[in-house]
Amino acid sequence: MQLQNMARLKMAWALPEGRDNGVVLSSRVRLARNLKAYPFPSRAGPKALGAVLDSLFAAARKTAPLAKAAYLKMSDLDPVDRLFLAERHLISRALAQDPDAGGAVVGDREILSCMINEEDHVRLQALDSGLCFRGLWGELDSLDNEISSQVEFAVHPQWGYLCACPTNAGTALRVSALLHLPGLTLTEQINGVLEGLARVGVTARGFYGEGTRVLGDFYQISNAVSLGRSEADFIAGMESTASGLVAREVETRRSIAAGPRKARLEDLVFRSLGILTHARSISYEETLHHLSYLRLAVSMDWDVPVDMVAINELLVLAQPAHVQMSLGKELPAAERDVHRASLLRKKLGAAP
Amino acid sequence: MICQECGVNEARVFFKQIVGSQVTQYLLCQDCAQKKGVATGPEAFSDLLAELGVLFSRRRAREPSGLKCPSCGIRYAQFLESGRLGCAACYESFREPLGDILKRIHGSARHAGKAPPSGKTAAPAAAKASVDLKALRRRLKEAVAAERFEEAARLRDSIRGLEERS
Repeated sequence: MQLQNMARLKMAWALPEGRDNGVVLSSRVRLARNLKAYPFPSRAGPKALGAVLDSLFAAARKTAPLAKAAYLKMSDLDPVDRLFLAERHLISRALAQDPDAGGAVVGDREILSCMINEEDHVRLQALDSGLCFRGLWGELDSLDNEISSQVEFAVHPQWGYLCACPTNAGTALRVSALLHLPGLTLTEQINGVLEGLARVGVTARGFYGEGTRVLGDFYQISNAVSLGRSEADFIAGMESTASGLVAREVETRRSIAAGPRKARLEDLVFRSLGILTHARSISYEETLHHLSYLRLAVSMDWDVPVDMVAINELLVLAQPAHVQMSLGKELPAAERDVHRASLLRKKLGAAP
Repeated sequence: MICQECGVNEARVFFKQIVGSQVTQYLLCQDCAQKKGVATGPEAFSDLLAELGVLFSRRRAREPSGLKCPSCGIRYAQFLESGRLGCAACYESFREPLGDILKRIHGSARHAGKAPPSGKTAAPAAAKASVDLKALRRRLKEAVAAERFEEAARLRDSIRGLEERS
């Protein structure tokens, strides 16, 4: 476990500071790029992958925002370190499981980062708290320009940036937001909402963005296609979609709190508080299930003994690799669950 | 919290799953989760390409699956299997069928975004706000024409917001 120092640093996306952070946990913008001179990672040998990693590390080091970044080779890290990076949304779970010649570059406060030699040679990412696609795109666009001036990316005159998977070709841009939608879920509007999103070319996924498993009412939405429109157009479209969802979720929360469903919601919230402050063993999935209700209560200014900073922190720290990292050793799931419960009691000010 | 299935044991499995556009909630005890075949370990990755696999295989009969990319050696049939191309040159090697596939995935087969700063292919890089506005106005028109009024209302608000700021 080499990344314990990193565990102490704050990452920007988990601080509840951005616009609409009661609903939008984080926004993310990413670009996929491949070097023209090498085959895509799945067809490249160890030598080529090593050369890709070296030249991208070198190019990133010469950019202004990543000059002082952390440069990590997956081969130097153990499985807990890699899962830790995935839990911080810096690399994919696929790369964490199959590290090969992968790498990561992690910038200040983990806003800008690169993931190297996953499906494509490099994925550039900008990630921050709240709804902030435009600002992130500005930073990512200029990082991409700086790197582009040093290496030659594969570009096609008609199809734009070329990627291993044709679903990413064109702008190779993915604009996504992690939304907390407990109101729409409780009132069972969520299925209608997801159908509406699918019709406007927006995909909904679960908490980690790759799978379909939704934990604690957190949904990741992103643009489904990447070719045929400009980056600014995709950004504007996703911003409009996300703003629409925020408005709908906020309105739903208001109507629950003002109507006959309030008693039922109060019951859910305080039962969850009871479990989180008294459990002696708890899985991450169950933790998120209850933290979701608590987060909803905090966003509506209900009198619960916790604030948004602590809740967002727990969303991160209660994850399996983070629990192990904080104890400095690998633990079986059952022991992690015990430590997680104790972490929750401590952070929520309960009796030990 | 009690298991939604047996109504007896404490629920231990807490998640929802998106299938198509439907969210199914699971609040199950270990036993019922196992009986229902709901995985409790780390989840398998959903693969967008699984869906595309269907898309591709329907066309397989009519396509030149014997094609091979001279640059990386991958066969078109292998691409259909995995959904992943081997190198940038594959896009030229499989130009015709791929153009079709791109169009079906994206609804367009013409790049309209940025190009590398020094690139010869340069479609001019987007000049932020004015391009945003233009694009939004176009999307608004499309939304109204297709009677997607909720989307239209949101777009209208975004346009107003942008106009006020500029």
